[in-house]
Amino acid sequence: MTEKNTNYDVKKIERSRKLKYGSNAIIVMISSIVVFVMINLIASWITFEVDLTPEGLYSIGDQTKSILENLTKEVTVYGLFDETKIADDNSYSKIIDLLKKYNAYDNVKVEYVNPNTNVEFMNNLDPDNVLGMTTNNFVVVCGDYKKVLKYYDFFESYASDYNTFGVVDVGSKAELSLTSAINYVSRDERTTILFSNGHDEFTDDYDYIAVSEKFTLNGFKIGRINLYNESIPDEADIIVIANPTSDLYPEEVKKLKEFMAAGNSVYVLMDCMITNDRFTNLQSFLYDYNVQLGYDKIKEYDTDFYLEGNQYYIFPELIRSDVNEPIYENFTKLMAPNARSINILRILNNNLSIQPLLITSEKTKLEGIYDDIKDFSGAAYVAVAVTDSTTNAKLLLSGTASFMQDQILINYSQYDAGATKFMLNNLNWLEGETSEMFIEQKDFFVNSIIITTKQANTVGGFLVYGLPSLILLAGLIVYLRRRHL
Amino acid sequence: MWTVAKREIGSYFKSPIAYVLIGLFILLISIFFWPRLQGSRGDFISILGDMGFFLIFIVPILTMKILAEDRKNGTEVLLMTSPTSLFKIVLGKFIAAYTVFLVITIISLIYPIIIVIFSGAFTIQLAGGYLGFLLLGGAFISIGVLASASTENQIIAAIISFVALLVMWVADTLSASVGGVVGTVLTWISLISRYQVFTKGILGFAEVIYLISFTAIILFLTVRLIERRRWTQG
Amino acid sequence: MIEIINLTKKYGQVVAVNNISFSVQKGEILGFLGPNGAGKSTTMNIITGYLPSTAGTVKVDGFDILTHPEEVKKRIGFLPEAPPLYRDMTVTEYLSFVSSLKKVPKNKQKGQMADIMELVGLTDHRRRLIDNLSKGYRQRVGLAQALVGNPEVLILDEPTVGLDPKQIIEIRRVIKALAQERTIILSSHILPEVSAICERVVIINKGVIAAEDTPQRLSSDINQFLKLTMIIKGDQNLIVNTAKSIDGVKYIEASAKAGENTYKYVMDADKDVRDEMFFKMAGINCPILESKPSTMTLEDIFINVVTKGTEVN
Repeated sequence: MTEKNTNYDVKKIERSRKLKYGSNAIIVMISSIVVFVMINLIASWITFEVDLTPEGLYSIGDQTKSILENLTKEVTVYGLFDETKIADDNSYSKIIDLLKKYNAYDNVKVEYVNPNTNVEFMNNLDPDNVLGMTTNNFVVVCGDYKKVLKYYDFFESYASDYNTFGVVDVGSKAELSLTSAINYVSRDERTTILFSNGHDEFTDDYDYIAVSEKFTLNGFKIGRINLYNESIPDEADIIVIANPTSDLYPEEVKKLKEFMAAGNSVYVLMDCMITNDRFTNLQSFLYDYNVQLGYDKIKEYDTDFYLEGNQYYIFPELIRSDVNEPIYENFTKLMAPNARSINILRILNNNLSIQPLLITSEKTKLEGIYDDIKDFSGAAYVAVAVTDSTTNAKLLLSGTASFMQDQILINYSQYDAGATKFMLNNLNWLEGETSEMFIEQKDFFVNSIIITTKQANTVGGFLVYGLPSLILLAGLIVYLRRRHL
Repeated sequence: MWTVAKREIGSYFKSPIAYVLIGLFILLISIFFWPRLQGSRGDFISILGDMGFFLIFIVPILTMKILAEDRKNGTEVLLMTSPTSLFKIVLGKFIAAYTVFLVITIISLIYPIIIVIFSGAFTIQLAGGYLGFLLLGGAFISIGVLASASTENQIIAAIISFVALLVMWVADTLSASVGGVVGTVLTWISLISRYQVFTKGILGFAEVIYLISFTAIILFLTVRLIERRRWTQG
Repeated sequence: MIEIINLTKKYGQVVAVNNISFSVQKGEILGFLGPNGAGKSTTMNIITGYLPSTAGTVKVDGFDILTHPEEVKKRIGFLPEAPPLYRDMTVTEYLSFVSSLKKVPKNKQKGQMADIMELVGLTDHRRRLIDNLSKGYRQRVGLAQALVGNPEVLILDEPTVGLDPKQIIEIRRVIKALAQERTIILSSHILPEVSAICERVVIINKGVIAAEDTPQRLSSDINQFLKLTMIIKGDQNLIVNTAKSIDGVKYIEASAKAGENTYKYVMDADKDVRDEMFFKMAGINCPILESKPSTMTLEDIFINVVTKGTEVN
């Protein structure tokens, strides 16, 4: 070994010694911790996350994505609480996680403001206190438009214990609420829906309460009108006539015709009702659009098409058409109780385009409700959409109104999704906009098992007493066998 | 590395310690699981979340002897003078404790299997939770290994790691009530809150990286600690 | 084979080993002597790579322990003061673990283990739990452990401690036999053991090398000439003063009364002073009744070399 090499070696040794043990060891430790922190800071900027929940609680659907992508105005979502004080097991932590997805879009900002420490912010946001904001609400703001979202807007809950007021959340409406709110506040024009209320119809304050809330969430403005003594305001876009108990007056039909002529839309929904009135005025209005209400009640004989035990609670099938296209894939069942058929008249009118939306099975029987109406067997339409190309007016006629009645949605909640989807799609079509919203509520996944009490106690007892004992016994045997080696 | 791991695994399973720990852990899970069976509920994911908490009690006992015993018995000399690097020795020790933990984890799969047998579902969320559990176990055990390297008294080693893990847990619960910057930092640091991201159904890149790099840095510091002790003590 | 150059080890402010250098030739058995706390074990720990040195180099077969620790460790079998035993294992389990640790090929492990157990006399106890073995047998397991992997260098820290005389003789025989093809460093506090086995001795004290030579020369130097016990009849003061006037006598003192006007004297000298003592005592009419070199213990040698060492300093 040459002198130079030896020197080099000694230096190398000294360096390694210093690095490993000397004062430099502290530097090595500190710098390794710094590297650790750096790596994790970088990792936390990479927001790559996979949502593993069966419900997709932390994912946003295609519709939300397209709405967020197409936002032209800046929308801010304010959470009115200190997000650092939300524990992981708090329901709101799910919303915070979901909002991170929203925040990733350019035109959406998510901020958390503690209203207790920032009173000024609250006063600026809502000087007249009309929004009724409180702590733990969310406010979606775009320019002058604001929408407040509360706990019950995010979660579907039921009272688990009436004595303690315990509430159990069974599903999340967070995506629907947030996207709707964003869509709502950022819309240039608001479509106004007016419920006709002169004939005991279903309206937003009676029978259609739940579904009306969904309309609101979807950015519609809701109102009521008595067509007989009120004139239709300019802002009205859609008039809904749901299950009137008496025929319309000629004046009302006249107003509707004028309304339609101006390019607006009317949505008529009628269950089968056994009354003496044949609703001739309404029928004459419908006649202009080549459609008529059938004087019958649909009874299904195909077991796949009716609710078990009630042949009048039918499941009509969706017909593929322009109107239905957005919901045609992945459509769940729509339940139409006490429905009537819709007839399409064979009168030549090139200005009208008619699209049937719902159809019953081949085995259907239409029971005439008047003596002069004969029974009829075979498939029948339950809903039809008509467009008048001259005025761009749209008419939607449905032979069922109670499919989204509050009472039905409560009693048959499993068909809620289908009904809401169908209804919202219809409104969106009537509204004439392409940005439809079909964000379903995400029901919390319940991993229920089928087990008898006896089985549960046998298995549970084994797991609590048997299995640990077996493991301990194995340990004891090993110990005893080795002890005297 | 594998030689050391193999010996330690043998040592665990040839003495009653591994069996007692596994039995205890299984007993705890079973106690939580039985009422779920009675209520026909197959949500094991929440128990998996609790299992992270059980580890706070199990891991210190599992790891207390892993390096402290060698120092006390003088077998440290044998390991250090064998042609293996210190890092491989520490890694081997870690692998051994981790293997016992793996056995616990594998046995705990019996519960999801029972759920599936009784027509429940094994969700991807649960699989993700298990991934988190495996990573959390690694991080916890690395803390135990570091504690065991810091003293030759096993009891003290167990107490150190127990306190460290408990502080981690308290930090997580505190973070929500403290809030603010401190709360955010606590949540960021806390292994438990990182783990809860998995159990609530998110597979996050940042969480995976954090738990793995945490384990790595603690094992690295363990090696440095032992080297430093060799330098300053006789 | 082993080169130790300017080796220093500090624990904080305490210097355990201070700039020592020595080397061991291939096939040599080196005895390493020193009182407790002399730095004996520290030096051995550094050579084996258990402890890092503060400064200096240790080279085994040309490899530096700091830069090529694995190469060095491969070549060394080490029996520390406290045998490094896992008491929860049986002898066979333990030795096969050590075999894997020392990277003995799988197919050779069994044969080698059998040979080693035969050599150290453990064959009959191979299935016993180490925890249940007596101290002597544990020591044998420790020695067996050092032999695993057939290392070229053996470093044995007090290998015979705790063994009964029969076992000691046996172990010595084993070490002698091993020495045929190996380099051995052995520490001991029993002088006869060192002189019986070792070819060369290094004495270390307070972290520095106090003496280094063959055991025969070390012993003869000290034993025969440097320390004497004499029984002389006559006036005590006269004898002491006369003896002190002799060139080479460093110290003389009456240690005990041995009869009427007769005392036992102990004396230290730095050369052979027996001739001159005889004539001088004859000159003052004080007959030397008895004269013999002191039977020196290792402690005496230490005291000797140590005092010499301090005087030099």
